[in-house]
This record gives sequence, C-alpha cells and structure tokens, in this order.
Amino acid sequence: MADSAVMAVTRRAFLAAVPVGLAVGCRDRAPARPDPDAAALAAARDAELRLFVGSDGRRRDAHLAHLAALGGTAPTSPSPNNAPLEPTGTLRSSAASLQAAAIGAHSGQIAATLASIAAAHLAMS
Amino acid sequence: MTVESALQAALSVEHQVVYGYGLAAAHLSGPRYTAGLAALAEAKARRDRLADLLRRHGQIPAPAAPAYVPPRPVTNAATAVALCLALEHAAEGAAWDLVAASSPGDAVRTLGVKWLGAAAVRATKWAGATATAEPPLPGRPT
Repeated sequence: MADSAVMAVTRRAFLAAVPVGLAVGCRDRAPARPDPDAAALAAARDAELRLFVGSDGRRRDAHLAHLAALGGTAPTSPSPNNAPLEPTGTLRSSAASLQAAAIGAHSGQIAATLASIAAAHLAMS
Repeated sequence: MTVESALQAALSVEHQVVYGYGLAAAHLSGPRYTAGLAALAEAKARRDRLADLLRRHGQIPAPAAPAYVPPRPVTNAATAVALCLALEHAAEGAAWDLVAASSPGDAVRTLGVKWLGAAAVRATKWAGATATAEPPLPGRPT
C-alpha cells in the first residue's frame, strides 16, 4: 500500500509538470501576468520605511519586522538625528491604509500580513 | 483552509472568548471590569455575525460548549487579566486565518481585518498590565 501511495504522488507530480513546461516554452509570446498585489505591497513598504526611520527602540524593531514581512529591508545608512518622530496620527493613518489594502488584496496571505501590520500600528498608536 | 472551516474555527474561538470574558469579569474591578464588559459585548456581537456568515455559506454554526476550562485557574485579578490576554491572542490567530481564507472585498475579509485590529489593541492593553511584550505581527502563525 505504501508503495502504491508513493507511485501515485510521483505520477501526480509528473502530470502537474507538463503545463509548467509548456508555459516556459510560451514565455516569449505570453507576457507574465502582473502581481495584482504588487502596488499595495510597494506602498506598504514605503510607509513602513518612513515609520522605521522615524522611530526608535522597540518600535523600531517592530517596524523592521514589518518591513521584513513585506519583503523589504532597512536602509543601511544610519537615520539622521533630526528624523521626525513617529506620531500617533501617522500610525493611525497607516493602519487605515493597510486595512483597506488588506481588504482588497488578492492573496489571502498578503491580506493577512497587511491586516496584521495594520493591527500592530493601531496597537502602537 | 476553506473560508467555511475558517469561519467555524473563528466561531469556536469566539464562543470561548465570550465564556472567558464572563469568567474574567467576575475577578476584575474598576476600568479593567469596564474594559472586560466592553470586550464581552463586542465578542457576543461578532459571534452572532460569524454565525450569520456561516449560514450564508450554507453551514450550520457550531454551538458553544456548556463550559470551557481555562488554561490556568482564574482566581484573582492577575489571573483574570492573563486569561483576557490569552483570549485576545487566540482571537488574533483566528482573525488571521479568517483573512487568509477569505476573498478580496467580501464581508468575511472585512470582518477578519477589523477583528484582528481590535484584538491587537485589546491584547496590548492587557499585556501592559502583565508587562508582556506583544509580537510585532499579531496573529501570524509561529
């Protein structure tokens, strides 16, 4: 029985591989479909980067975690000493934007990530 | 996870949140008692909304158990606050799963997004009373 199960899995994998190969062959003629959530993710990363620069301590660590979850990285250069502090209104505004993006996101996992960051901003505000 | 199973799981958590806040409130006083009652009222409304959404998806909402056993005995204000924090963390997880399983723009997604925000705000307030650090991404599976 165990051998039969392994065979079935292998066969499923092989059958699934065929359309992928066909798709690769057609790549030049069929343009890749754009990621429908790319713009929302980019906007979230930009906002998070601004909050990261304007924060310090544990909040800075939280924004760094948010950036990483969004596929972004922190700037390598140190933030200027006169960086604006992260005001409560900015966090609330960011949370509202992130919640709207989460509601509209095509990917469920991206939606959950955006909603979670929004929740964290609400809790920090 | 299908949206139906995420809704049932969320309802199961919300049944426990309703029961748990009722249990915790008996040991709270002052502003914490008021906060506990407000959370209880919100949880009841969300429980009813989740049951309604399940029926719209052709599902029968699972009823609440007659009683639930808290993770630790609730005997005073400190243990009651710890239970409230645990309830909100459970809600964050259920809300995350609900958002992840839902479709863009639908009522389930909207409920999940708002629920996650509300749970994180309450968790932070309860955590402040227990000096517990909150995770940077509320509800994310570990």
